[in-house]
Amino acid sequence: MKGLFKGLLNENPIFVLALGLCPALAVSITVSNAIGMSAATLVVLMGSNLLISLFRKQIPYDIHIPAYIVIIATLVTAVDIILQAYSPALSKSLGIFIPLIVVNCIILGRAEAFASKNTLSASFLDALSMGFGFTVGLVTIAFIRELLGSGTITLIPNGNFIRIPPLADNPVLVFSLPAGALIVMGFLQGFFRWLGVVRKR
Amino acid sequence: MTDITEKALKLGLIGALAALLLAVLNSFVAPIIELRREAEMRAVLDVLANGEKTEEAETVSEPGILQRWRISNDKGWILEMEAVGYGGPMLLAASYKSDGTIVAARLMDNKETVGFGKKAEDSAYMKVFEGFGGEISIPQSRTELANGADLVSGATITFTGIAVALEKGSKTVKEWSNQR
Repeated sequence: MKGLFKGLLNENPIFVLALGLCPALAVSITVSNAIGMSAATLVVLMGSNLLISLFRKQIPYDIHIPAYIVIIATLVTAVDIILQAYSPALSKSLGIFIPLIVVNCIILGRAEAFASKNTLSASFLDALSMGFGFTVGLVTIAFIRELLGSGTITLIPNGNFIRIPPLADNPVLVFSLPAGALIVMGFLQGFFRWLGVVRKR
Repeated sequence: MTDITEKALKLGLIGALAALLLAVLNSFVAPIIELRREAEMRAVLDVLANGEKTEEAETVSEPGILQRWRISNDKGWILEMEAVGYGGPMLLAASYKSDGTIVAARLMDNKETVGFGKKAEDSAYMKVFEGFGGEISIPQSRTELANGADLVSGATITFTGIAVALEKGSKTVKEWSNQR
């Protein structure tokens, strides 16, 4: 069970390992974008960890990186076309960041550092833990940015949103801009580091 | 079998299996994506025609213009066009009066950046082009906009790509009108 929660705090991919920052900064404009991106990343992460762990003894060391890239790219392409077919609004909203999951450091990093050396069940737990940590990080950033920057909370792409009256009337626009993403990320990384120090004591 | 041949074969096998898997998935999903695109195009046509009827789609040989629909009662044309944005090709549709004036425009499929070029999907963004193209030429940079410069800021390549495509559409509509 300890392994399941490592991605949340001690090894949170966004706030502690500082991985996957590009999508975390770019798509965290609305909560619905963050949920969609997290779900897509989680599916790819679980698929790649499972496949790489399953075939780790058959893939020679010299070709492991190209082999992993092919596996990850296949899973990302599958997720991309499934989203285009069944969730076009989310697919449009996330745009280029879905194909770019291929180069997300969390996925290749976990494949190389964990799935290639561990059993199927441990790799599955690792993917779940890291994916969950990425989700919590991304949704937290998006929640703060959307709440302060627009005064709304959007849970469904192109759907209705919850309006928070005082903030919606006077939004702090910087939070909906890229600079706002960096500010929120900085404060949250600081908070997680402080939390790490407190826990060690 | 040499070591290098074995590795090459293994990598080739992984690639072949991946291609096979995606081909099977695509055979199921492609028709659904096509249906979705057709429905989206019909919805955009309804908006751009502004209550008027449109005739059957015609393929156009002009580069950058994919299809055209004549608006009933000679009220102009609706064009489906290709533009080049920051994230690659973009698909847009616009309705023109016979003199090349833009009545309305919509950005459809695109891979523009979230928070920047993606803003062009908002109907408010495309409103900055409405009324241009006839006697007044279409603004090619945001500095040429009297209103809405703030609305389109932060995505110069997207704006220029759309403006170039709309300009091309406007010129083509004028040529068709002159030929008649």
